[in-house]
Amino acid sequence: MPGFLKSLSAPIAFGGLVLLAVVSMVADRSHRFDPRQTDLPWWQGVLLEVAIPLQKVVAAPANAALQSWRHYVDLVGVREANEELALRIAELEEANLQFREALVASGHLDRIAEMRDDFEVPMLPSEVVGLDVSPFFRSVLVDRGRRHGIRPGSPVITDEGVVGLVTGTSPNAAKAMLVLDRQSRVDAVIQRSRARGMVSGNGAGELGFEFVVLGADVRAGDVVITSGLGGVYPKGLKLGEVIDVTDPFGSLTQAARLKPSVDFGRLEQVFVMLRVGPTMELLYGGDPPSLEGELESETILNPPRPE
Amino acid sequence: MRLFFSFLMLGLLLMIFQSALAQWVSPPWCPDLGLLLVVALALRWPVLTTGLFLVAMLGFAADILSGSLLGQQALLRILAFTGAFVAGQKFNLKGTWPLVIFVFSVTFIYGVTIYLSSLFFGAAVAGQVWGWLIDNFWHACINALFAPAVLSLCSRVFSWVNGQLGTERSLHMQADGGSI
Repeated sequence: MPGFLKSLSAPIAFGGLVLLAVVSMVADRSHRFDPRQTDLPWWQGVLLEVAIPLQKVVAAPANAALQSWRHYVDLVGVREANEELALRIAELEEANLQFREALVASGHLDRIAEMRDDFEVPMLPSEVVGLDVSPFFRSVLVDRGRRHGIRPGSPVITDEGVVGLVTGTSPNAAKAMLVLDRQSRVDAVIQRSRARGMVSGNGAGELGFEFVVLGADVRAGDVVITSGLGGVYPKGLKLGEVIDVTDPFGSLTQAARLKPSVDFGRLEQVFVMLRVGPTMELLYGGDPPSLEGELESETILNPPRPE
Repeated sequence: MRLFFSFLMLGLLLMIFQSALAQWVSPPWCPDLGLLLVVALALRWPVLTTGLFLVAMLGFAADILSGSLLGQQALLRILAFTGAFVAGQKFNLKGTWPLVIFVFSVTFIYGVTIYLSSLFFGAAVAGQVWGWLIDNFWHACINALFAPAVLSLCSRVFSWVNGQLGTERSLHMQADGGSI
């Protein structure tokens, strides 16, 4: 009898573990679609908490080497770039002055100043400590979590544009899905022509701009920004630049390839947007989290706008 | 037990290292060290049952640190481990080339299964299949290139933790006419 049971131990273990994994997948899938979705269960949070300091230690030597390279060695052409940028700033300041004059003349500036407080979102600077452990998915781990005011659904950005969306948090860590991930979808518009479409990740280094109405004005070099209609990302955050427009082949919509505005290969510091917008409130249910007195002093309440 | 916890720690450390490595080498050019460890374990692990528990735990850990559904990588690693365990007993995977071809096949099938399971749970788009397949092909090539090194590392850990276990199974398999 013991021999018989021993011979069955492997099939029983196999069946039991497969069943456990399938049940976990189904449960996790429904959890992700749950409008009241909350933070990660404690046991998942513990692993995330342990992984963060370890990843910092493992990545430290390589980070130090790269920082040295960037700060001391890779400075060829900095003087020329500096001169070009100084010229560019002068041009932009001039253009900015003209726009301000035009706004003052039309009486819009005061109204914009009043609206500003409503639209500014507190942001939390966070450090990216690790990337996805699977090459088939694109997400990052950041070293700030629930204790710092981050909630699932918080957008993550840099000064260059959209990075992704927080999908899970533990007290001191958070997991964010990058816009490059195949599961990511962002409602977007072309900044120049306002043509609408959907930006999706392809799992590699590029983005797709799909479901654009046939005949809409999309050209190589166009800047694509968030439309704000998805209810997650605020309007006007930069997503990328059109590389080329693909031939629709008789389809009713056209598509384009985008170069992401964020250099994901050099992702170190990100900002997590902490305030939940009214549409997000509808999406995720419940009252938006009260952040007063909860945020650490390093939270930037009036951050520089990425766009 | 010592062997179990040693490889559990090794698997978790490899995962941390993989996560840090992905900052410098982007997919599909980054090897999947976790999957390579699963294959290495399947070819050397003495008992199927404990091996299944070990790869399941590593799979669940990978799911938590990844964007996949909880249980997705655990399930696929259990299947990969079982498949590789059986294949290790049926085929001669002693040389470098058989091993490289075997790891290429396992990685490619693993990638296709991830796509299909993501599609089943609505987390992937059917239209992306060609891009996925091409990326998956290159990823399988990279994994195959790294396979001998990771398997050699695993053999060293086996010898270091419990030299007897690895050699006993090897001798036992050779006596049975199988090969590892």
